[in-house]
Amino acid sequence: MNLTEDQIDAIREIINIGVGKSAAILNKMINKHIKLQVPYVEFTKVDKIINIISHNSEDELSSVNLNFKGLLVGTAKLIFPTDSAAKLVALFTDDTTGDDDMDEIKVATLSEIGNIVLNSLVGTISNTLSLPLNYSIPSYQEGILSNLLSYYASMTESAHLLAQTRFVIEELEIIGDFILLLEVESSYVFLELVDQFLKNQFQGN
Amino acid sequence: MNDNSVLNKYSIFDNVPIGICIIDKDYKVLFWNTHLEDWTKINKNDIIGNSLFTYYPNFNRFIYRSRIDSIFGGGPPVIFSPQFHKELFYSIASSDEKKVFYITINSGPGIDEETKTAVFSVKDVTELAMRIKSYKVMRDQALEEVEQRRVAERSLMESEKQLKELVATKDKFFSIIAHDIKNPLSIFLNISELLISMFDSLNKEEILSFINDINTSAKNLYNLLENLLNWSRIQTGRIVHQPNIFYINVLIENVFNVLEMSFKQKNISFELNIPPTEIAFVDADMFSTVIRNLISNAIKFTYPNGKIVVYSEDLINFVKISVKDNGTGMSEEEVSRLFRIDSHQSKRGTNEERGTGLGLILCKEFIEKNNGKITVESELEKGSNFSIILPKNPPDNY
Repeated sequence: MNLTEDQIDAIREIINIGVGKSAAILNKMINKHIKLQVPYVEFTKVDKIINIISHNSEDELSSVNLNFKGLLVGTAKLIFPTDSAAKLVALFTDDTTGDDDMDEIKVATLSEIGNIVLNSLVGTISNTLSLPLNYSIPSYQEGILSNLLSYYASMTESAHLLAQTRFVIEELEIIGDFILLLEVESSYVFLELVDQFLKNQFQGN
Repeated sequence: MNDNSVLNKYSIFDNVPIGICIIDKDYKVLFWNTHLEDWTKINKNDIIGNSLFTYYPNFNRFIYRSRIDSIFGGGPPVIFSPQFHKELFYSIASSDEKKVFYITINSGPGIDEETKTAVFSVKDVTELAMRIKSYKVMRDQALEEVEQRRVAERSLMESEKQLKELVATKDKFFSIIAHDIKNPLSIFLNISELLISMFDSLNKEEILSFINDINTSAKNLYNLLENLLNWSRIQTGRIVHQPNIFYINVLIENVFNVLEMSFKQKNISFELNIPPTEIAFVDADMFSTVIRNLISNAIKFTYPNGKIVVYSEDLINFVKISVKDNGTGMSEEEVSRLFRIDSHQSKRGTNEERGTGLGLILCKEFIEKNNGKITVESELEKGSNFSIILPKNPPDNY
């Protein structure tokens, strides 16, 4: 599925709005300045996504997930290498002990950070494309990349959305990957909705 | 609006093992389960039907309103984790211990199709948080213990290394005694037996020659024993280091007098090239022992009619004294083994003189004790040059 320039621009704009919202909330929550940037956006098959996410494929990863159903069926994930996740949590909670492991309390903190980002992104997508969704309770997962994406790896016809998110806090940069995984039908529906959105924009709706 | 029917609808959640609170879009409390009652000490009858802000004004702040409000519009669930939000549902009885909660807020069905409620699921994670803290303390203690053991192990290995060196030293000591004392003693035995058995048939010159042999062996044995004793005294710390400022010339001339006979025996010439005002800060006995060893060696490894020069170089705060001969010299390999305790050096001199190499090890220890350094340059068949560098003055804190 190849995207037109207009489609990519539309998706990028939606993502940036969502990211801006989550940065606003995160900045209010802690007393450090956080910047969120989305350097690029891709809409492509799972194996390409696995290649793009530039972590070593044997790295232990931490993922906060949000499953949804409705007009679109799929899941949104925010993925970090586990030691980056621990660093991110430490930065957010002013923890200077230098522990690199993710205990349950840190998992809870990461889940909330993930929840804020995922909700803003998925919420903005859902609102902009006029697409009501039903959500499951957010969950946390650890594992290697191929395991985290295994369910969708088998759907070779599906295309998914990848937006790399950079968290910049006090000169430290931590990179998380936002992925919107869609089942096959939903991939087409998503693109139709984006086209609809573009048409409405042109018509000044 | 029938409050009773709402209560009845949710009463199934009254006793589930988490706290449940349900609010409408105006933040009016519709349901407050027993668990939440127990933790907050707020009676459900007091809060149901009233605004959540009455007891928890916090929820009216931007960071909560902005996230919870989207739920009423059908937005995704919201999480409030303990590290960011301590005491969200605090107990109104201040005497109660503080709890930490993990809260998930979901959208729930409202009165009719259009409206939604927000359902708070409140999990008590106080115990979990405390246990994690204490596990971390235990882990850190364990890690520190491991580190301490590693340090102890390292110092044990260091002690073992030193012990091995001591054992090597002791073994060398005994092998020297066994091997090198035997030689001169067996010469005594043989020659004295010869003298006894052949006395009547020997002439004066022959007898004198035998006696000279005994005398030479006796001198060698004496030197060896003296070196051994000094060396063992250094090892056990029994030699007292008493440095002072001396004129080098005077000390060296004394040594030369002791060794004059040896020079004459091989017809080796001796040149002393040190200004009479040259000084060094050193223990006189140690210095003399070193010079005697160096000159003895030079004599031993110089050919008859050769030449030995002792000269000095001024190095401002130090003085360098060199003993140079034009004798057999040494290969690079021999030089590298010179000062080592574990390689048994015993090279025969140009007149078949014997020795143990112990003298040089002793020299190194004496010179280093005087804050000096000993070095050697040598070339096979050209000769050797042994140098010692010593301070001229006592150190500032002396």
